[in-house]
Amino acid sequence: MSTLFTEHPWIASTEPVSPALSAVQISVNSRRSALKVLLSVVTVFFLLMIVACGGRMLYQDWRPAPQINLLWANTGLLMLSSLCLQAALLLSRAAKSLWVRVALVGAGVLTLLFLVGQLAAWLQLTEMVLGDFSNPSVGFFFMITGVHGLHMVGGMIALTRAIKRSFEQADVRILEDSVSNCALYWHYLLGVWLVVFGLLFIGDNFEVLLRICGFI
Amino acid sequence: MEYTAHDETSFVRPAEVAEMELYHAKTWLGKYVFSQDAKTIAIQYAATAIAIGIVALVLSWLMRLQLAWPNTFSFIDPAYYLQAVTMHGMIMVVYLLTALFLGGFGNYLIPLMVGARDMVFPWLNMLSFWVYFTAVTLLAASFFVDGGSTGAGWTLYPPQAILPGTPGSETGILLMLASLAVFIIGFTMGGLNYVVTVLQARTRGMTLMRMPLTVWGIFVATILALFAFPALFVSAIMMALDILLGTSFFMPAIMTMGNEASHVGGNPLLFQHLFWFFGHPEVYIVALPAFGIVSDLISIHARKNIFGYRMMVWAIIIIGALSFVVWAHHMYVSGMNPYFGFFFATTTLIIAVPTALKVYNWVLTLWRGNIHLTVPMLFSIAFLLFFINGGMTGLFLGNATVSMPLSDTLFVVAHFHMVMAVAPVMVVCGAIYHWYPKITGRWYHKGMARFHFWTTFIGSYLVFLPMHYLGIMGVPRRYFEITGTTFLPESAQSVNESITIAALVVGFAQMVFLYNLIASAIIGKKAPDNPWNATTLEWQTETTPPGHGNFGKELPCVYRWAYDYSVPGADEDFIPQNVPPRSSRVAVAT
Repeated sequence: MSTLFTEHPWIASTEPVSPALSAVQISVNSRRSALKVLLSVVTVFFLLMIVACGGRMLYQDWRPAPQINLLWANTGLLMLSSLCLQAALLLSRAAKSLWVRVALVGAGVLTLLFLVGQLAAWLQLTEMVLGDFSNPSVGFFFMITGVHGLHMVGGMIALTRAIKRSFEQADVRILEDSVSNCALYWHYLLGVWLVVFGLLFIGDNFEVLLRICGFI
Repeated sequence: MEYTAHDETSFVRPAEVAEMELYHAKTWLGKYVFSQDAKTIAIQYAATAIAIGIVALVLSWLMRLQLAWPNTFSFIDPAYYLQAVTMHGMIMVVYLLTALFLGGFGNYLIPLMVGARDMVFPWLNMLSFWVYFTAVTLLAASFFVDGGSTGAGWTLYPPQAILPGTPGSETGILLMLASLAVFIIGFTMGGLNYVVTVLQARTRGMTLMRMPLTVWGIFVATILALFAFPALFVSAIMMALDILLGTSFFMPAIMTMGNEASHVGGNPLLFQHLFWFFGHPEVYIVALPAFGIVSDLISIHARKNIFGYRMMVWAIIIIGALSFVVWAHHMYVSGMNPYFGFFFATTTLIIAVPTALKVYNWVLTLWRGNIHLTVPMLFSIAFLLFFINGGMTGLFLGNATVSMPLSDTLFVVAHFHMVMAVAPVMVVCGAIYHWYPKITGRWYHKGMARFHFWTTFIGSYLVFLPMHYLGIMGVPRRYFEITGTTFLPESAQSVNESITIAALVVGFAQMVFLYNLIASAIIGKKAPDNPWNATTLEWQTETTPPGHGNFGKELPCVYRWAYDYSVPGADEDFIPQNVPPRSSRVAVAT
């Protein structure tokens, strides 16, 4: 990208040729780039929801949603699944294929438990508000957790493919690439969850932050 | 200084990519319906976008008929009129222009122009089109449901959009929201492809700064769209939840039809902020590809290198970045802190600087060029005129205090049609005529093409120039009829009638255009591989139209930028990007 500042495209270059990339390398690079672009889009997506929620908090009639303790346990599950994927990545680099499978399956099971936990949290909140969703903070809870959950479900598709590859004795490089992308995705969505959980769903942290920034 | 012998390939920058594995379809369905070839997908995108665009065009005729001769057409009632306004706007902006520029031109041109075999994720590319097709189908379905399509205006502002009394507030609005959400999902698939193809699949020697401006325009517009569409997606989800679950994101406590609605505490302004955070970049999602394409058309048909290439690239990037900090200039009358108004007016005026730079560079490219008045060039010049005209009226609307009295008048309608409807459409037409010989291998009928140009060019001016005056008089937009008012002279109605006649004639010219495209693809004269003597890689393919995989056995190697026209001392007035430097002796500083 630095050439954007320095290159004079109208002048012939005298730089040497470097060898062409292999098809596998192109595929690996492309997938990684696509994931990074996707995560940037996801960031904008969640940022907008957080900002929208913050914007709504500024009004006098803001009523916080009831707090759900189950979310702590769910957060723990997501952290563990992320750890499992990091372990799978390290193990795949060390070519320990059996343990890679175990770690990948472990990550999948923990993520499924996380999703079930989130559903249980939804049911709890529905009971707490007696089915009245008109409080915007309740609406934001359902929307943000729902969208985050859907992203995890999308990730599960990629994780399932990675698990399949690990059992099929696929090309080591492709498997490592697959696991590495899943790990990045999981860590990232864990980060997103920690931000939304910390800001919106425990205590009044976001309100405090907005107060510190002088918005309230 | 001494002279050193160089191998030709030593001029090539580090390789970006080698061969990629291509999917070869085995069945007719796989080749033409669920094709993974970007060129076929491009044509599918373009055909679908143009088909739904024709629906929007017909809706505009109905609107114009009502405005010119109110109470004459019994089938157009106020609800129907509002539905036509809404669907016309949304279809034209999102489903036609965005899809055509990014899905159509993006798919066809990116791989060819950067020297790739195809998009990097062909399957995802195919899926992207079919998701887009589903979105269009959902949108079209809203015409036929109970209550009809939504009539909330293309901005879909709540609470009006979902309250009883607004046309389509039952099912129409839900289908619109669902369609938008599906469109965005489909676009994200395609957008990832365009961005990653540009970043990862450029051929050897094709540095970022050697890419044609067409690719730059589409590339930056795609990034914009990837970051802007989530705002629309979020607002669509929130509004759908307000309707379906009774949440109150946007819906305040409100009386409707004499009853208290169940909503409490929502904020309609929140929707406006989200919508315009998408809506303003959307202007540039449409404009930037047009900027890029027209730069190439002007350079090729004026036989001159583009003036200030690097400046043009940076202007595209800066315009893209600035487009995210101007959105609230669409909300001056919604109420905001005056300091915000000042901020957004300032950023709006600042964005005019890189935009004006581009205009100067286009004009300077034309200056003393060997201008060939081909049909693509005619459309390019027309683009310049419409864009400058529309841009100037933008200065009025960008200033908060000047904008207030013009808000919600036909002045706004005239402005945005000039700058983001007619101007990009001029580029679309010019681009289609320019690449038609490559896409079909045949020539279009030049007489019909010129008729199409002159009718569209003069006709569009006759439609939108007088509309500014109606706006200044105070004629409001989105009104079913304006008769019986005391502040408007009778001549306002006469102007409305003349606008309608011009609009119908322009519409007829588009039918001629479509006929020309379809008929010439079958009976047109055979076109040569590179009829415009252009330098970019899509004109250097082995076959015309290019086959699956775009290039022959080997991918082309790029040695130069895309604008080597009328190079002093060269044998011809163009040097293709894949032609190595002529001299093997190069001066090397020692």
